This record gives sequence, C-alpha cells and structure tokens, in this order.
Amino acid sequence: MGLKMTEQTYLVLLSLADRPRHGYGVVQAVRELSDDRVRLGAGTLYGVLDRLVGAGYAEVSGEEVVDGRLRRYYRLTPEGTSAVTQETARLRALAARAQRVLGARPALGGA
Amino acid sequence: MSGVGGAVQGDAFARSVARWLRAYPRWWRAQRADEVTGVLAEIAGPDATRVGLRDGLGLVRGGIAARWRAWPGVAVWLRMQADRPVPPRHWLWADDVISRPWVRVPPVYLFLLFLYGLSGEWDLLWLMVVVSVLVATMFDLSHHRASARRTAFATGSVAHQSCLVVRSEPRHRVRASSFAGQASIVTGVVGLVGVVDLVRSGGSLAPVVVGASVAVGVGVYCAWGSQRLRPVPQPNRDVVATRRPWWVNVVVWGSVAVVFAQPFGTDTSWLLGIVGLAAPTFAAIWLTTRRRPEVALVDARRAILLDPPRVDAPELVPRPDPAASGVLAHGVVPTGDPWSPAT
Repeated sequence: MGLKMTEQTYLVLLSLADRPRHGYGVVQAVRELSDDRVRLGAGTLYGVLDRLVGAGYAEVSGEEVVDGRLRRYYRLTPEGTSAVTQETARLRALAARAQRVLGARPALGGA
Repeated sequence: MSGVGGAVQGDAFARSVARWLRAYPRWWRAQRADEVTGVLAEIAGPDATRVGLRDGLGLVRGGIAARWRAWPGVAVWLRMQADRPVPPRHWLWADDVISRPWVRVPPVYLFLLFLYGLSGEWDLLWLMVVVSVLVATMFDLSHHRASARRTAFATGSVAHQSCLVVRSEPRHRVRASSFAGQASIVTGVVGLVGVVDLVRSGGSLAPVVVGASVAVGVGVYCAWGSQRLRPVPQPNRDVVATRRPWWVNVVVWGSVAVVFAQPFGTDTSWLLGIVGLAAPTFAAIWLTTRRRPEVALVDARRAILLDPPRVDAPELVPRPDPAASGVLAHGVVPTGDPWSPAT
C-alpha cells in the first residue's frame, strides 16, 4: 500500500527503526533525530501513526501503564523497515548528487 | 503539591483533552483517548491543567483528517441512507453516524428544504431549519437508530475478517418522565412566546382558547392512556434520562422562539402557538409516569395509541474483536480489505 513519505512520516519511521517506542518516546526521538528542528504535536503524531498502521508499516507491540497513564508501544513491520531503508537510500543518493553539484560549483571569489 | 491537588489537576487536564478530542470520531476516541491524554500530559509538563491552544488546534486538524480518512465515499453513505448493509470495513464509521442525534434528519429535511427553496417561501424555509434542529435535539429517534443498526450491521458472518464483531447490547430508551417533563416545559414556553406575540400584534385570541381547550382534552386522554400502561419485562433495555438539563432546552428553544417570532408577523406566532398545543400532552405523560422510572417514552406512546407493549430486541453494535490485537486504523485492523470485489 502506498504512503506519501513526508519528512515527518520518515522521521517517525526512523524513530521506530531501532526499537519500539510509545507516543511521547516518538516525539522525543523525532526531536533528537531532526536536531531539535521538528517538534511533533499530538495531532500530527497520531495522524502519522494512523497512516503508518493503515499502510501496514507499523503495528502495536504492547502496552503498559506508567504513573496512571497508558503507554502504547509501536514497532515497525518488515514492510516499514523496508520502506525506511529505501527512503534512506534515496536520501543518501540525493545527498551524494547534491554534493557533486556543489563540488562542481566555481569557488566564490575565484578567478 | 498534595496528591489530592495533583489528582484534581490531572482531572482538569483530562477534561481539557477530552474537549479537544471531540474533533475525532467516537471509535477513534474510544481506542486512543487514554493514550493521547498521556502523551499530551508528558508534552505539556506536570503543572499543566489544560491543553495549550497550539496543541488543541493540532488535535482539531488531526480529528478532521481522521474523519476524512474514515469517510467511505458517497456510494457507502447512500447505501446506509437507503437501509442497505454497510461493508464491514466501514462499520465503525457507520456506527458513529448512526449514533448521532440527527440520524435520518439529513435526507428528509434536505429534500424538504429543497422544495421550500423552490417555492420561495423563505419564512417556511427558516421554519424547516428550526424544526430540523428541534427534531435532532429533542425528539427520540432511537427507533430510527435501531432500524439503521439492524440493517447496516446485518452482515455479521464476515465480521471476523475485519477484526470487528457485532455485539448485542442493551438498547437505550429515553425515560418517559424525563423527556415528557422537558418537552412540556419547552413546548409551553414556545407556545407562550407565540401567544404573547399574537396579542402584541393584535391577533384574535378566540382560536387560541379553542386550541388550548382541545389540547387540554387531548392531554386528559393521554393521561388516561399512559395511566393504564402495564410495562412488560425488558431484559434488553436500559432506560436513560435525556442528555441535557431541562433549563438548557428552555433557554435555547425559548430564545429561538423569540428570535423566530420577530420578523415574520402573525403567521409565525400561530405556528409557535401550535407547538404550544403539545404542552398539555407532555405534561399529562409526565404526571402519570414521574414515579415510574422504568417506563420509557416509547411505552407511553404505545399505551396512548392503544398498541400492545413490545419487548425490545438487543441493539447491534460493532466493536473491535477482543481476539484481534492492534490498533484499528481508519476503523479497521490492517489485515486486508474484507470487502474486496471477490467477496
């Protein structure tokens, strides 16, 4: 099933790549991965999680109650792992091409 | 901070979250409300007593998007309006729609509004809007809901494929005394506004006296009818009070009547007066059932119309299958589309 890979979607997928996380854990991981640039609100987070679960890229792996609050953990499915791997490869290739373009640019102030 | 203070603070925050989460569909809230409340509490910090505006607006946006993703399309919507079974993958959406108080109002009233729009009678158009809201908020449409449930969720044999099961739950019926008490006050207030407006505009009071006499006569008959009511055991029923306190309906509908009476002259005053004619009937039902909390409005209606009492069938309600793990996305656990053309 296709899924539009926005930056937020990619970051949420990436945050679940190493281990299952609960909602707030995803928010924190995305913040770290994006170098404090992307701060997910709850509305955005659950919109992304809904789409990932609907596409079969993520699933619930368990629940626990901490300080009276329900924490539901999510993990990637094999399809989700494959999608985030492919997207990372695409971004790596894009970065490499960008590096070549920038490297070929004449140095500023040069003759 | 004391533990009690912390609990009160937590309750206030949970109530604030619950208000914002109303943007989401009911099935989504049932499944995710506790989880989202926890995440929002951790984002907001321990001292927060309410959701911030930015987070709240984010929830509204997310709720609208969730409703949009769950929308099954016009074809399924039309199937449900036409009393046809709904594909299981859209059961939770259908349950959400059927549970709304204004179920069945849209097709009928949109058609009537269309007719009145064609006729150009704008005061009647306005009246239709008011009556639509009145019907949606006050009158008992549970029989429409039960009928819609019976047909929409009739395909129980394929329920397990969508990780939903159709359960039989007690049917909610509105308590006769609760509804009739409110309705008598509201219709009385609306009728009074009509009569006062009629007197102010110099209309004749003779028809009012005749109408009131007939209404009282009907009320006496209804009192006799509901007095002779002998309820039968109802194992599949929960008798519940109306959702709003009586004074809210009085303020809302009294205000609507006052605003409505102003621009359209005596025609409107008559219409409001006619609404008031129902007050003695509701008052009679309230008087005869106020000490009988087990009596539902439908029982009183059937007794007044000399129909024999009927035992309610249980309500059909789709719920996530407890045997299936995972979160429903768009109302369905992602195990494939059970409503593919092959089925």
